[in-house]
Amino acid sequence: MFDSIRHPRDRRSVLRSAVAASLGLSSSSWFAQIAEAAEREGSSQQSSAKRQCILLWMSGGPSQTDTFDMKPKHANGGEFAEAATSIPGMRFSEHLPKLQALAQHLAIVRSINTKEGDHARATYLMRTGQRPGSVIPYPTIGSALSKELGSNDAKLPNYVSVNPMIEINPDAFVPGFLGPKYAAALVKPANLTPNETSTSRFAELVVENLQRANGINASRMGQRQALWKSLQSGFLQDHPHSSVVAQNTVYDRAIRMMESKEVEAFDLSQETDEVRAAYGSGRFGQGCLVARRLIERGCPFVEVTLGDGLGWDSHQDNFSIVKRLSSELDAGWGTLTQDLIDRNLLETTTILWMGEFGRTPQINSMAGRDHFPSAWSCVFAGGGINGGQVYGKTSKDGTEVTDQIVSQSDVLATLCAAVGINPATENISDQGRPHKIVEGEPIKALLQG
Amino acid sequence: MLRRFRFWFTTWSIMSLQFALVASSSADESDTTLQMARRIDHLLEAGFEEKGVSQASLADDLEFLRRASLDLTGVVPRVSQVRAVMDSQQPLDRRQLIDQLLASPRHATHMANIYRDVLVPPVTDGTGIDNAAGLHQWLREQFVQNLRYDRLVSEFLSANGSEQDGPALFYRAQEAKPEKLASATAKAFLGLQIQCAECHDHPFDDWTQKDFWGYAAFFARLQTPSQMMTTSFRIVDVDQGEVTLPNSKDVVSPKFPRGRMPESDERGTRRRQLAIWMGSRDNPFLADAAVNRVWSILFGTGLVNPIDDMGPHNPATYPKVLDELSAYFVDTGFNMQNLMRTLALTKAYQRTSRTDNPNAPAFSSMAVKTLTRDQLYDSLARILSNDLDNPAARQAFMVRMQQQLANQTQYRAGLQQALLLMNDQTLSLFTQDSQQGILASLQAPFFDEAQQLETLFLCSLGRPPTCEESENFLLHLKNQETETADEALGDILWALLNSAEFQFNH
Repeated sequence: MFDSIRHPRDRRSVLRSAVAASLGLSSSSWFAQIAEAAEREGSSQQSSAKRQCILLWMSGGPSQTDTFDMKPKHANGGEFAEAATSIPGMRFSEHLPKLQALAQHLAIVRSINTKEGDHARATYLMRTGQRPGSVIPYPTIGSALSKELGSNDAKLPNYVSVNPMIEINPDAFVPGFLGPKYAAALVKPANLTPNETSTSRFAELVVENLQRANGINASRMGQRQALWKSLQSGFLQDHPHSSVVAQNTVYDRAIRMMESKEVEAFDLSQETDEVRAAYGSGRFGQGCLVARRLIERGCPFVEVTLGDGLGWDSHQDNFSIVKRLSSELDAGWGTLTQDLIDRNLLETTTILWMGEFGRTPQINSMAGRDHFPSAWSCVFAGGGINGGQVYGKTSKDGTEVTDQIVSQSDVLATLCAAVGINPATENISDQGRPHKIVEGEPIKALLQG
Repeated sequence: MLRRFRFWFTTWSIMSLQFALVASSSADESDTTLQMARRIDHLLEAGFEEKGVSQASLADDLEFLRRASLDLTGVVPRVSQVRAVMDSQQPLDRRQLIDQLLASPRHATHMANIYRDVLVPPVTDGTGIDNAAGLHQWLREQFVQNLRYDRLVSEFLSANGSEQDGPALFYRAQEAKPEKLASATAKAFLGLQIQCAECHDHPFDDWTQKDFWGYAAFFARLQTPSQMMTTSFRIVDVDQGEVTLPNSKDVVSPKFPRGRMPESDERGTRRRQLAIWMGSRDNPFLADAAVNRVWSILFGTGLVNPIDDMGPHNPATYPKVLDELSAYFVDTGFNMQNLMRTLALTKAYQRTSRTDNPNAPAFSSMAVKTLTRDQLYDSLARILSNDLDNPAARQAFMVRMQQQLANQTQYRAGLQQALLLMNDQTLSLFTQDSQQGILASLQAPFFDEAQQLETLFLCSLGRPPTCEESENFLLHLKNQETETADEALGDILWALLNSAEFQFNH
């Protein structure tokens, strides 16, 4: 019964059905070519695999100057040294040692230029590819891609988000007009009161209410569901409204998930302390481990947030903040990448590292860096990505993009293309109008040929 | 069997309703409320006939009782209310019921819940609902005395004070920025989406960027939160402050939307000038926007949708209904309760939601509406136990049920919410422990199993079980081992509370 998870769908059939779905709306020639190419590739290992995606979301806006676009010879450069990596000439922060060794998988984009410098607005911009304030409730990228990559009868949710900072702008985290079916399942820090200390030395992450209530065993739950189903079918018979059908679908999926074996993905106690420690004991590290377990079990889109609240928002004391977060980042992301390589999953799993904006190259009077959307970085890795390269360039002082300027929609379009989805795939909004997943163009140089 | 039962029920109630309408109309020939309700039906029916749309039959008394209770008081009816309708020899006097519901203290609470979410939408309220207590209280006081709606808006816009006193939360949620306050007040009170004119002229409507900033200029003279060191925000008017067009130094003077500039002799702060205009006959938007919103509260969707995007670019489905209702609302003194009464008295509102065509044109049958999180929680508290009626439990639930309220005909809850309603430890206490809440009250010796079962259906769905359901659910009770007999009733309650029939208003 777990076949759909263990033996992923044939990529060609995914592409064919995606083409079929977009017929009559728009089927760009660019995409048709990919679909044909997939047909020609036949049953090669790579093309037959399911595509998956991990978004490492850096809440608060990480400093590019202290991570992936360093300016060691300039006053703006700050305290950190640049280090060599596995790719000659590709250099980045000394505080990311595991990632240095994995640089052949990384494609650094140093030339993002956006126009939003407010956390709430920029978060919406980068997660939807749309300017904030629209009447149309656009879906967040995780919802849009999990809709394309996921399946309706999957046991696990198609989109899981670990420890997101939703409060900064809830509109940036929702499926919008795609509907609740495509909402993320949330993995949150366990609810400990201030006086309560965890018995584990690792951060505890949970999906709330995933377990049956205390005292309800499987047989009791089965009886409850049978009664519930009889009520549902009676009401649906003379109330076949789409909202009622949606409620029934959401419940069915919740029940299926609770009862599946795959749900053990969330149970980190199945991992050794050694493995857990390698990922880093904090929420991000443990979240990356949850991500690996979900990817192993076929979940198409996982998001892990680093920076509880707006952790990367280093207006003061930038260097100690970035140093600490870099160490968490390196342990979590580095170990995750290595584990995916060991399991032959990195080839089919695309990773995007990104925040809502970068930070000023200039260091302010409180040793901090402020919001900076004009010239900043993100990093792609893994499936579909041509690793070991740097794309785009900023000026010597880091204040402007000097080559290969990239917009928010280009970033998201590249992510779509890397996981084999045409960014121009259309969805219909509440008001009956078609909208592309993203308007931008994939950056060809970043994609595997 | 089920079908036939419902058919019989419906037929019976149509007869009863017609009787009720005739009876009250002969007594109230001059009743303008009823006349207006009939006028709306006439306009809608003319539209349906023209398009050849068939209309659903009228809802039976129990369907109507549950619907009106949820729509007018935000909570399912009590078992005693349901029983009274079932036991009565007479058909339900729907007008009397509507009047009772509107006079109930729950009505003001319900309206305050709705307008709190309109003014500080839960999705943008990162500060948590507990901070909205002051705003809720302020709104509730206005609805308790059924303050004229034009006055309510004027007072809201000229209010001072802190968040504890009410409206200040709205200002803080918009960071007291003129452009944000302009967008938010235009949506909430004028039914206008003018925010895109902040940066450029409106693409569909003829709002210019200058119109937008002329409106925003009324909010230019407020202290912004960052200028103050206190944690609780207070609304403070200051003497100076102007708005300019983006990327320019051109100061834009205050100008009423689609209207004139304030006269030089108009007194008071700019906010005060706007507040006076807002409630005046010079404002062509206020009544339309209120009517459209109240309509959507009762019918699930507005006459114009999205409900806060009105204007020539987005005409109403029934323009005459909107125009005449809007004029009527003005003539009846912006009386919100009377507006709701009028709409609730229409046949359109009293039609059944049962249908085999889920895509039937709007208002030809009753829409199915998702319960808001307030309706859901208050209903759970009424059914399960008063113990749930405490702020901490309520807050925990509200935070997890976050949803968009824009269109109640869409289901906005997801996996998290389904898991919560199925497995939450607090709720489970009341569907498991026979010593708690409603399950304890069912242990009274004079209740047999059929009566226990019936009570559970009445409290949650507002109707008795069908024959088929009775058979099926009683079998579940009988099939239990003695040690689990108590739990079996809890199973039924759990199934009822997780059912779509409970979680929707229909």
